[in-house]
Formats: sequence, C-alpha cells, structure tokens
Amino acid sequence: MTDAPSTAPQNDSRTAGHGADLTDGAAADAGVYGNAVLLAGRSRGAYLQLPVLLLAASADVGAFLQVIELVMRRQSQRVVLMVVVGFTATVLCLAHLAGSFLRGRAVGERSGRHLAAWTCLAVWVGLGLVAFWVRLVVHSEPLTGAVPNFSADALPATAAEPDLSSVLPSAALFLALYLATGVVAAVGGYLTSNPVRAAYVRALRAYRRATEQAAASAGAYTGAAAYQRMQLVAGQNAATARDVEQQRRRAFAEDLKQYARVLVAQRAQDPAVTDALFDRPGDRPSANGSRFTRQAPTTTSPIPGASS
Amino acid sequence: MAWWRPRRDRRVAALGGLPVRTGRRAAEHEIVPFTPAPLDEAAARREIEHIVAGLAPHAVDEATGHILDGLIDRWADRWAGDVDLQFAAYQAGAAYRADGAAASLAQHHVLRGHDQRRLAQSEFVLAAALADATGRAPSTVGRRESA
Repeated sequence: MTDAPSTAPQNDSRTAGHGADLTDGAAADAGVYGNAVLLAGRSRGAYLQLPVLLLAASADVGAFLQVIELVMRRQSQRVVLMVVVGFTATVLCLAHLAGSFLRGRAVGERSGRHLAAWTCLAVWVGLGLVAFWVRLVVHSEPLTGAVPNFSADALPATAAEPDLSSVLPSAALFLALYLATGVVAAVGGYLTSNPVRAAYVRALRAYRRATEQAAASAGAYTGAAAYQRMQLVAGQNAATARDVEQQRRRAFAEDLKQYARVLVAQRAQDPAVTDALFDRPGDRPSANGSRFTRQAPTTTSPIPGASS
Repeated sequence: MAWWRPRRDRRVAALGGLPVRTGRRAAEHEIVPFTPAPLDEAAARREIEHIVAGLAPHAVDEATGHILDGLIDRWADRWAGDVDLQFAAYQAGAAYRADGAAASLAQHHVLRGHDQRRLAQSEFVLAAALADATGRAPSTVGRRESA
C-alpha cells in the first residue's frame, strides 16, 4: 500500500470533527461490516441478482396486471399499466429494504433499523395478501352495478360468490410468484447491503471529483500566472520596441542628411563643395546625436603618400 | 462534473468577478505588441528633394553645405516624439491588461485555495471511510505494515 495522504489525520480521527460524526453510526459496526476484501468490489454473483430481479419484476407485472384489471375495469389501459408498474416497484422495493434492514439488524446496527425492517415486511405481506384476496374473490366478468375502482364501496359491489375450485389455483400461483420475487429481492438486499462499503464508495467518488476540480483549478491558476508574466514581458518588449524605433528614426534622419548633401553636391557641381560636405573616417559624432559633424579640414591627404 | 465549472464561472462573474478562464483558454489571452505607426520615409525624401531643388545652383558653398541638418534634426525630434506619444497611448491599454491579469490571478488563487481545501477534506473523509471499511484506525490506514 502507498503512503497515507499528507492531509490525513495523524491522530485517531474518531475523537473530533467529521471523524466523530462518521463513527457515531455505521462506523460503530465496522468490526462486523469492515472487511478489506470488500473494497475490491462486489462479486459477480451480486450483479447476477439484477437481471433476476428484472425478470421477477416482469413476472410480477404480468401477475399484478390481472389483479388490477379486476378492480379497474373501466379505467384506460394506460392508467392500469401505471398502477401495475407502481405496485410492482413498491412491493419489490419494500422487500429489498426489508432485506437491507434485516442485514443491518443482524450485524447489530442501531438507528431504528429493526422497526423499519418489520414495517417494510408487514406492508409487503399486507399488499400481497390484499392482492391475493382480490385475485381470489373478484370475478373477471362484469357485474351489474359494478364500479371498478379503488373506492371503498366498489369492491363489495364487484364481489360475487367465487368458484374457489376455478380461481384458487391461479390465485395460489399468483401468491407463490409474489412470495418468490419478494424473497429474491429481500435476499439480494440482505446479501449486498453494506453501508460501510457504500460510504467508502461515496467518499472515493467525492475524492475523485475533488481531485479533478483541484487539478483543473491548479491548471487555471498556472495559466493565469503565465498570462500575467506574458503581460509583463509584453510591457518590457514594448519599451524595447519604442527605443529601437526611436533609434531607427534618428538613424534615418542621419541618412536623410547625407542624402540632402548628395543632392546639394550634385547641384553645386563643385569638388571643393563636395569635399567639404561629406565626412571622412575620423569624424566624431556630435554631442546631440548627429553622427556627422564637420571638423576642421585636415592637412593630410586621404591618399597615402600624397600631400595636400 | 464538467457542468460545475461553467456554473461556478457564472456565479463568480455575477458577484462582480472576472469570468474564470481555464487551461487552453487562459493561454489564449490577447497579447498586444507595441507597433508604432510606420514612418513615411519616401515622403521625407521627396520633401528634401523639393527643398534642394528650390536652391540656386551656387547658393551653397563649403561653409553652408549643411543647411538642412537643423531641419532634419527637428524632424527627427518630432518623429521621436510621435513614438513617445504612441507608446504612452499603448501603455494605457497595457496597464489595463496587466491589472486584469493580476486580478484574474488573484481570483484563481482564491478558487484554487478553495479546491485544495476541499481536496484535503475529501482525503480526510476517504481515510476515515477506508478505516471503517477495513476495521482499522485512520492513522494506520494506508501505512506500510511494519515487520
């Protein structure tokens, strides 16, 4: 394993701050839930219950459809389907929650999971019994004066003397299917429930998001710092460009002076004037920046060996 | 959560801050170089030619051959002054951009600090969750087991 994060508490975190909050509930049962092997993820068998649950849910939809249609004969098919799907989701969720709460109860968790588990189980059993009773006693044939809805006086009106020998097998089959799918959901919830691992997965997800966000903001900060440096360098370059441009213009002015002298010499057509106008090696630059300042004519001829 | 950053951008901007630019966008900020207006050298040469053409052929001798130097020096002073004026105008915009860069950097500094604190807290939470999941105290999670 790698070294712990630098910001991780060096002391026991259960004594203060978030650590204390974490340990008040589920963490107290870490000795039961805690298993480092679980951090590797769920087994493939745990994921196998998902398609099984989906198939069971589809079977429940078919079974509940027959029941709901018995009491909602005048409702549209869409409304009946919505009720059936909602009923299926409710009973499966109740069974799953009951399994999860029973798992928590089995490992000694507190926080009212005991009551919640039995409440879910009671509601789930009650819904199943009601559906079984409807399937058993309500005829599918329309009856005079029947009001096929959930109103309190509707069911007695639709009820007739049931022929138990004909409806009991299908009702029993419905009940068996209801119990089977509920047990599948409850056992799945019981076996896969692990709040400590779920908390670890949430913490890991939050850590990944925080890492990505911190990386992004660090990159943005560095980009902003680079932009500021670019502005500073641009300012320095601008000052340099100003100096260079001024030097270039001064140099052009000197070139322009020479050009003017050439033009003057061309008009004068006089060697003496021409000689006096142009500079020779050794001329010193003037103090005001002019490179070509006339000096007193030298007595030495520029031609070696010749005298003026 | 790619949608989070634009939302935070909008919130920060709505509070009066600068739009937060990230990564490549930050590197694509505008850098304006100082480019003075070019000098019309051809026009200056034509002006000199015009002046010299106006002189009498024998109006210049050895002593008065540099009669245009003073004029050209004044031109050079004016040209240099033009560069100074353009540079002063450039500096106004450059100072604005530099201050904007400093403000953006300060804003990113604060946001980065927030994200780093959040990362530190999430590391703390992760260590506690790991301790719960493994049944060990947080101080020992992630440490190498001593022999």
